[in-house]
Amino acid sequence: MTDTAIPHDHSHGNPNQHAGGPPREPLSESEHPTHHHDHDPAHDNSPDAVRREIRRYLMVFGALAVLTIITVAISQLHLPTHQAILLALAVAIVKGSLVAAFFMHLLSERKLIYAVLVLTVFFFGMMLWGPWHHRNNAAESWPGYDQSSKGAPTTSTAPHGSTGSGH
Amino acid sequence: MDAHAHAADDHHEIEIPYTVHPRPDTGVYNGKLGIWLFLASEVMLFGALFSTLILLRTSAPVWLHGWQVLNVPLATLNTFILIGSSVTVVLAWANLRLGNLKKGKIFLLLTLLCGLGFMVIKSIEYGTKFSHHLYPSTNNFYATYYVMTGLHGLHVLGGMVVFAYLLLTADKWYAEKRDQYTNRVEVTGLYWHFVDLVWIFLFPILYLL
Amino acid sequence: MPPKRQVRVGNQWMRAREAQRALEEAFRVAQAEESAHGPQQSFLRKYVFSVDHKWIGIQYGITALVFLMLGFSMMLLMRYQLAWPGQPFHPWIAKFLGQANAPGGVMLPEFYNQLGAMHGTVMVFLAIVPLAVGAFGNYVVPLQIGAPDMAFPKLNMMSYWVYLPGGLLMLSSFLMPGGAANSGWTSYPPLSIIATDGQTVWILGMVLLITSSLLGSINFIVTIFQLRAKGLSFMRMPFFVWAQLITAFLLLLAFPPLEAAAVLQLMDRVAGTSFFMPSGLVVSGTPLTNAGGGNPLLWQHLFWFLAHPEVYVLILPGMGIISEVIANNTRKPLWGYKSLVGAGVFLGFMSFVVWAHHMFLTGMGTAISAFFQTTTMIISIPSVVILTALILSLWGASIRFTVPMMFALAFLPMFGIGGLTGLPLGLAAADIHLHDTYYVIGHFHYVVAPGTIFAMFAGIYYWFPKATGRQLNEFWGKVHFWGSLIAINGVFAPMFLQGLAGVSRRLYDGGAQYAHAKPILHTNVFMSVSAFILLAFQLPFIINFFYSMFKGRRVVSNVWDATTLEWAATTSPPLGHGNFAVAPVVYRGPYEYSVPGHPTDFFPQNEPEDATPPAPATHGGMLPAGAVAQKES
Repeated sequence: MTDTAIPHDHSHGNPNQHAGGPPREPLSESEHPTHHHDHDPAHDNSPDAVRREIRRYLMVFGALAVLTIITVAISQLHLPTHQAILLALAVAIVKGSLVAAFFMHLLSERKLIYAVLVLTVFFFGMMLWGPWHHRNNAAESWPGYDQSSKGAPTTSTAPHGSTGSGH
Repeated sequence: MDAHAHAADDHHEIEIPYTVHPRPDTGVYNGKLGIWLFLASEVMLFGALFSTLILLRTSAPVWLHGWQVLNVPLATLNTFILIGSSVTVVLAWANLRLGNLKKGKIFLLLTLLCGLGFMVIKSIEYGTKFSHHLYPSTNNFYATYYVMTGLHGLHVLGGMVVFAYLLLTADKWYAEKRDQYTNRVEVTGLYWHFVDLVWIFLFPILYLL
Repeated sequence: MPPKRQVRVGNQWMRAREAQRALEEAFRVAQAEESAHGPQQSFLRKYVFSVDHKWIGIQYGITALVFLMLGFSMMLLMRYQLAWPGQPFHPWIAKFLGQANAPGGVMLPEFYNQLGAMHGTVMVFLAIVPLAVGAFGNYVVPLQIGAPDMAFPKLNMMSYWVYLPGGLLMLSSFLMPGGAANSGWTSYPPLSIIATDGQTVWILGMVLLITSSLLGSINFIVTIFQLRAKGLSFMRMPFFVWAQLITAFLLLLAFPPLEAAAVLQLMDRVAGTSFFMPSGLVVSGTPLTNAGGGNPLLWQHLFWFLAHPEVYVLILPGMGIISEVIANNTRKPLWGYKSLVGAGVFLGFMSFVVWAHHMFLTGMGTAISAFFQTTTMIISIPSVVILTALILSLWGASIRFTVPMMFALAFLPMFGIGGLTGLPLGLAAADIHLHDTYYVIGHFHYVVAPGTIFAMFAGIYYWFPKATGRQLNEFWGKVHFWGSLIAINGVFAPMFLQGLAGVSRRLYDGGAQYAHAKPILHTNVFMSVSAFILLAFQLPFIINFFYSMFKGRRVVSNVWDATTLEWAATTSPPLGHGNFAVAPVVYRGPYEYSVPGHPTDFFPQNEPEDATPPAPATHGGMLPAGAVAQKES
């Protein structure tokens, strides 16, 4: 672990001594007024680097706009539900990845952040998977279950039939 | 240090390390780690609602299609607005890093206005539905629609409040604590991108399927 | 040989009373120095809206202990009813409860249900977690990692000031028409949807509490990652800090689903939605008019997705405290530090994938039940690893039977019982018989009451000197310990018998109307009497706590001769000035006790290799003289 200044005062043994003012930290701002961004290429503040970044942002915006048009166009085709869901999710995942990778700088982010996100995505998956196993109970377990929901037009196609014992 | 230039109260303010500059071994400054953790919790929050939608929709014998009853053109416009606002906020941050406070503030203002536009269109959408007596209680399609877009809308509002605060305090902060202010814009931007990200999924799932 | 009947303060030997005066004087000097430091903060800024983690920790601690007492009182009311069903309360209590809850002094079943739901809620969300995480976590973690404060002090202040209103809002539900929430702390729909107004207030209170918790967990994680002192690598952190880190991740990722579910339930209740309401429900002969199509099991999934990790939130900080106390009072490093850390992390991860073992009886199907049964069996492994490591830490140790250590030692078998009794519940086949019986209540109370709460007591006796500069009275501490240990077993042990006999939970009459409960019914009286004895033994603790705060024996900073960083800070570190005169640098692991060749039996983390060790506290004369003398070189 890299370190810079080490506190020279070894009189830490006396518990009742109180040296006034804020404690000295090896890397406090008062000791390092210059910016040291050497660890983080995404934060290179030179004008050229930033301008390149700006160009990248605008390109990503273009891609996102195009993908939005695509996803709306696909929906107009009124594909069967399964395909429609898969395609819509696929486009959304691409769009989302662009936002995350470039706008949120995930591409150049630290392992620590990645680790937190991977963990989260895993638990997110568990949370989607769990309740889904009760999806057919609505039709089977509730004797008074009304087959036609109030207020919904009856022309829509039902999602793939509830054949019970999938679990 | 400039700490002494502040009010007497600040004499008691303890200096917390890595508020502005990243800690070498973790590579992040405090606020950045903090906001990513917050976003992780938000993934779980919206995830629970997606889980709800999946369960209720796949259980139901009949379920409306979004394109049948929701205003797709307006929502598409909203999608463009929100994506645009993601661009403006990241441009604001870029300009602040270049030392360009004026441009930074303009882009922050644009972001705020985009957010406002989004909320205005949202109110029009909701208003139209209410006038047709379509409420959350009407059926589960509308219930999930209102809750998911409503919670998302609250997040947009929250972001707008923070952007307004950043705009109002820009001059003072940028002059005294430039790096800390720039970081705050970055961190708020990350939150804002997340709000955009949620919409990127909400839009097709609710309106297009 | 040290002089008889004398204690060492700094470099001098003196009699106990002189030592007291010397310490008082030193403290007065330190106080005067601090007041001389210029304009003081306003009272509001310093003590109400403090951003100092130590004061916030104390705020959390006092508030949580008050809620603990309230939750305890609710339990006592219930236990009175269970032992003597239909018997009127004492007139004063009857008057306090009012005619709506206890007409003629006899508890109504509706009120019993309110007490049941609120006891659970108050204990879990208002008492234990705020105490374990908000109080101990806030106070100790920054000190133990050598940080000046938490990463986000203002956020920390906000966490407390969202928790307190949330808690008060929760309690105010008792004043609603129809009383407090009464659908169990688990709030299962459809019952919770059609329940009285108190449930709405419960939901709003939960939203505030969850928010507070979320802000806090972000603070903890960032603090631990970012503000560790130089030299404090992750594997040199005290296990207490690891426990708090894992706990913070659990809170961060598990609470939001409950927040979402709470909003959905709120909407079902006030906006007429049907997220959890199935079609065709008939309530009291009247069909409901809501749209229907909802799924009550959705609530169960989302609720238990949080509530299972929540129980690990309840136990982990306690395990952390026990680890600190055991290491300190065995004068040995903990056995298997790496296994403790690995097991803790694995436990945290697994806690997210076991939740549906609370739902074995919901008709999920055998495949899914088998999945969750398997993960539940697997999660018992890290718990056993942790318990084993702590027990093995006692091997060959020179145990100091201080009050914190006694609570820590008791924790071990008590948590063992709690954990072992969980196994039949985790096996789906056995759970068919045991689900929703008193067996479950016995199981989880063993883990939380003689488990976590004993760990909390250990922590209070251990860190009280750090926070106040004074020590709790040892004699009354031991009285508190023995009385509580015996009484608490009296309250919870018979519950296993009741559960095995088939007595259900949440019965207003304790099973009196069921034939299968008849042989076991008498245990209700035994348990209730034990509960009142348990109350009696808390009184010396409460008196000790407040008395010692002002008049307790003054002690030097490192009264326990401990190695971890919090003891290197000034005694009762002054608020608002950071914690350490100089930022500590860490040279070794957290439990370097009895290092061969070292002049004293403890080697503090922040002491350089070559420096002369500071004079050991000789515990300021707080321990029996004999126990210490041999340790002097």
